Amino acid sequence: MYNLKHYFKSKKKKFFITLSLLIISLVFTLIISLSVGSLSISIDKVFLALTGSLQDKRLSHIILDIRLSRTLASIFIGASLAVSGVLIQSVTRNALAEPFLLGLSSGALAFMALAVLIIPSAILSIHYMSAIAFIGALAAFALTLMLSEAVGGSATSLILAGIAVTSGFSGISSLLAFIVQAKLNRPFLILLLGSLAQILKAQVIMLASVFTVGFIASIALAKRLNAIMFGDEQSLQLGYNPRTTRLISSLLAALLTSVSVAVAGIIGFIGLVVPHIARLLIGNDNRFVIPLSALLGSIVLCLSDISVRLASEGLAIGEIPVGAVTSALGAPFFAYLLMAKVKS
Amino acid sequence: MFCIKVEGLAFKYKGGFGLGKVSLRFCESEITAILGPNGAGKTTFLKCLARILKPLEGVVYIGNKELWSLSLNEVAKSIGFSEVEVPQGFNVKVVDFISTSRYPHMRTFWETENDVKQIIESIKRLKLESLSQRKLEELSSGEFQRVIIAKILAKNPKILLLDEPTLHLDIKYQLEILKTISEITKEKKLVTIITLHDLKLASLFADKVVLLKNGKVVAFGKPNEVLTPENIERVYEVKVKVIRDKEAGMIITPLIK
Repeated sequence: MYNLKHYFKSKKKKFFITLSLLIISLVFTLIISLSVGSLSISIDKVFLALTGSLQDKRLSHIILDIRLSRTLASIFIGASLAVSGVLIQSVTRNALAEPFLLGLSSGALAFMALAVLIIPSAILSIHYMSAIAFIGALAAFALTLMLSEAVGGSATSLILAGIAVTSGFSGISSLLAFIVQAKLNRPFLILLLGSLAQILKAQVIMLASVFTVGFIASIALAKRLNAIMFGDEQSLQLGYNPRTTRLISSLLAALLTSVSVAVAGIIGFIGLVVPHIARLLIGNDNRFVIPLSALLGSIVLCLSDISVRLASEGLAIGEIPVGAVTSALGAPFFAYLLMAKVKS
Repeated sequence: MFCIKVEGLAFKYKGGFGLGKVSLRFCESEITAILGPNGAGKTTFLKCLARILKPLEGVVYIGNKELWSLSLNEVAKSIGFSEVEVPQGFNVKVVDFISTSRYPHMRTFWETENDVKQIIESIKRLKLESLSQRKLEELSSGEFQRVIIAKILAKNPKILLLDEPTLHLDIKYQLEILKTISEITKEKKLVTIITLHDLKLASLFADKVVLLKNGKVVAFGKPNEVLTPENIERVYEVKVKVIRDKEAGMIITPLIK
């Protein structure tokens, strides 16, 4: 007979062990990220720079200004997209859902491109761009949900509606980005593929603040999200208004996604893959899944960015966009999930 | 004595079907069975009591408070209702599913010792120990029914609203579940309202019976008073014979010839 009391205690223990291991992994990944690049910097120099004791000013600048910004951006974006994925999957009760597939990322980018065409100087302010991206992400999500309801509201219709909206906004983004790039001579196309090149400190601060707010709010929602997974009626049975849960989760998901898109463009599939891995490790309780997804997401994106930098170096073909890598790796995983779902 | 009072309750779905003015009283330590043909309004009535559907007219009193004046959390703590969707692709375990029932009572982020105790007790009560680690999607419909009841029990509500709790169960589990519900109702002085199709089970376990047809109450009272051949024919449009046996109690059997 299974010892149930033991079960509850061991779940928490398992969580804290996994949490610690992931934090350690993240620290390692961060250090490696700072040492890797066109100029290979040894680990001890990285440590010296982080503590402010590196004599070589040029090296210190590379590590602390350029690489640290890029690394921190990948960490916060990875974490934001992963948490956004958890929110969307819980609230749509659909394990195949995520911010990119449901149109949020493409919607954000399309609105950004439109804004830059109308007011070219907007691109200079990360705050304006984030706000516009937020509206775009929300609009796209709302459109996906409405389209899904119109077509029956099943789990499959949601994904199909998402793909339709994503394609639509992607097309608009591509067109607008092309025009922006041609007319305004501003590099915009790269955002379609998602790139972490040339991150500014101000952008990192924006990412960090938004992530912190989004993360804390999501943890506060964790029990509500657990409740809504079993239907609106069950949510009421547990004392939570399902409409409120859906509204707040959508706003948070759009917030986390849109700032990531505003800084780095479209990076897909992190929101899909990372929550699945987290659930494989720790089960379905969002109180565990949200923090673990955040850590996993940051590690995954940081590693992807490291590999992109190494590959760019090795192949000498210029900066490979990291979004391309996440799509290349994420899409087969999505296909695998689809097939597993169809089989069952 | 704690009672639920329903006064002039009326409800209409968009399609037109609904409940006509229903006025009834349900008291503690009693099981009331709501009987009636398909589409009579049994589940609709239950959903109105569970505060899931808002009635067009009428009031529901929980004790002396109006149902719709209570906060969502108060409703969650007092009422246990049995309708569940299982999300596909998430592999939720039975024990984790049952655990969520403690949320209305939890002031802390994590479950307390008492919460864990309640969860384990309800699992044991419904004999689900061997199934506790299985995924919801893997259970048979009968096993899932028992899990739903265990989940409601873990919440410790004062009012149980169970929609066909014996659906999909074989006769052994049908009797066991109704026996468990009966024991708990008397033990914890709950107000239990269940919808049933089986007249025999209603006569065996219900203290009171409501006969519903087309959204209206045709009869209300003790089973042996309400379940007469005349009433049953009126409601179900079927001729039956009711026999009283010393050992078996009330036997209701259809006359097909």
